Amino acid sequence: MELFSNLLLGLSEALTLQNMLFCLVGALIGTLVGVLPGIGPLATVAMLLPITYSMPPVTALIMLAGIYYGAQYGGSTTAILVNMPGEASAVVTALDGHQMARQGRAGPALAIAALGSFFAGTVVTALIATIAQPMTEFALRFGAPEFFSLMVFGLVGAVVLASGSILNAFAVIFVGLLLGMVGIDVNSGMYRYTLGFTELAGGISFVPLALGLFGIGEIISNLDRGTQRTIIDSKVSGLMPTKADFRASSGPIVRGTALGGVLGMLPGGGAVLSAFSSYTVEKKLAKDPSRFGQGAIEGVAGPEAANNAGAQASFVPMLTLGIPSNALMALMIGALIMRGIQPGPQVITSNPELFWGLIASMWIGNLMLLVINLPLIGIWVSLLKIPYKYLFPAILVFSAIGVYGVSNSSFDVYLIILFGALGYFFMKIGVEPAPLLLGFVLGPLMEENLRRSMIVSGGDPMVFIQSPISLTLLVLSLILLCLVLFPNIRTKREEAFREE
Amino acid sequence: MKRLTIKDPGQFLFAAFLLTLGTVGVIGATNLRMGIALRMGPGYVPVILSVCLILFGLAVLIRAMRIEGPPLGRWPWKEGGCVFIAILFFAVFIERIGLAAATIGVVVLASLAVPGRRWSKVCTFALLLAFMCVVVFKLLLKLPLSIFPPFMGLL
Repeated sequence: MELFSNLLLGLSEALTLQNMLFCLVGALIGTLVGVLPGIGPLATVAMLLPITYSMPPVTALIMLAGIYYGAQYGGSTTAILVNMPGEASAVVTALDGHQMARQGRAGPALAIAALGSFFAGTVVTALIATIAQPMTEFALRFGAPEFFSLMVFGLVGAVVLASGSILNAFAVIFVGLLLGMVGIDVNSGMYRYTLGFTELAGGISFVPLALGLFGIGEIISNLDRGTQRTIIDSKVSGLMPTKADFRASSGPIVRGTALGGVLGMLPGGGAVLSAFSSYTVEKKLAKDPSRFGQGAIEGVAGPEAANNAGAQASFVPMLTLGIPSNALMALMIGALIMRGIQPGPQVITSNPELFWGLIASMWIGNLMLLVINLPLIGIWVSLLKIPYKYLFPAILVFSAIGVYGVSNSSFDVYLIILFGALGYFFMKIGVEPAPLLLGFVLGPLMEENLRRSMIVSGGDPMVFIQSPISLTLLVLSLILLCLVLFPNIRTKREEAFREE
Repeated sequence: MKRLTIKDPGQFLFAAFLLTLGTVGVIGATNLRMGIALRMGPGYVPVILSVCLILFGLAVLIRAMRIEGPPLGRWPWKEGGCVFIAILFFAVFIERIGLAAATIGVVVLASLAVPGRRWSKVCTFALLLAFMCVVVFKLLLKLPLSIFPPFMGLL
């Protein structure tokens, strides 16, 4: 019954007026950026990170989490109505969802997407609540070598499950790791790579790094491409799906939830991977696969449940182990560290209200999204009419003010320019920048744990193999690596990402 | 023996980036003590990482010479320049001219990036956004910024 008392604690925290309000704000902002192409949850969370500085940590996390799962809801709306996935994870939803809309069945598609997401959100919230405690207890037995191996596993997993070249992903992670070294070395007090800037003594600030890489790079890329908006006035009438719709989608929703719940927890997993995998699975299971792409409701129900499940499940490793499974979770860890909370297995006991409050708020947030989203669809679609030429200067202004507001110095604003250029450069040459953030967050932690392991073992690297937990994690990493280098699975992996 | 040509310009640039960063990393760590595995000095991990970056750079370089890649196309100097100048303007002037004027400046400079703008509209939007930013960041979130140029001695 400890679970119930914990959930009660969480609910009492999440149901305070302030937290409810910011949960709603987060969900609404998330839906907004999910609807708008050209700005994603990653850039938004980075942009709003400074603003959350004046809030209590739990409120800040509740709002930032709301942005992430809110974006999953919002992305599906425009994917279905105007064939414009505002979010990468909604790309698969557009395949069948928009076909349904063209057949005059936009209402049922939207309703199934929202209900599927809500179902997935509820199940995964319960899942997090049940496995969090055992997982943290397990993780509390970890020493320095185990943590080091866990981070290696996390980084390898992130590389393997990411799309694109594996060599590039590894290289980008190492760039992140090296950037994480900048600043005063805690053990010796020496300045490393600060180039004489005292502002860099505490390391490169997280916010300008993330904002530059994801926000500014994206803006320049959009301006370069020239964003044209095709506005289709689609009237949504008759939201209610038919009985046959429900029957057809119940299976995919359950399977999508399970798939997302598992894939979301893996390093490198999250909403996008879950949605793509679910679509592939449903297509394989279908009696008549040719219906997919022609408006099959299963192709909407499964991926929509999966992307929401995946988004929420990716909080598990972040909350219980302190290891980010994707770039957005790295931002969340950054948000916690900024507030002086070191994420890890101790958070659940040292800050139970933060831990359980966040979990309870996820369910409340999902309920809010279900209630507010369906009636408000017209408003969200009309937001697509905001021309990009007004949107991007506003994003620039908010970013600059936010970054300046945290540090109260112009130095971090200059850093946005530097990392914005880097972000665009990566985009231009087709290198995914997300792993950089993982490396950046994990770099100092890995160094510290490596050092400690070496001191404990007397400089003997065998320590990583002698501990059974550490050995298992390293073997798993090796297996993962072999899997991708093995040609057969490699083509499967590329297929899964090319399913369009 | 075939002549070496760059087959994938994007990957070639990436290799150049990795090699540069790795080299800078090694050079920047020369004044840091390396130490040994048992007692790592501040330079130990950075040097390992930098050397890895150089190796990655070489691997990417070899691949760029062997596997065909898409051409890069044009670089958006104008768009990128406008965006960066707008941010630069903010960083340089925020303490001197205050939040309202800095916001207007950013919007105007950034708008230079898009063709076919109408200045009357841009200015209206800039004023609107400046007002909004003052309300949100100064009045609601109470960030320590002055609204108007500090020398005017207002807010």
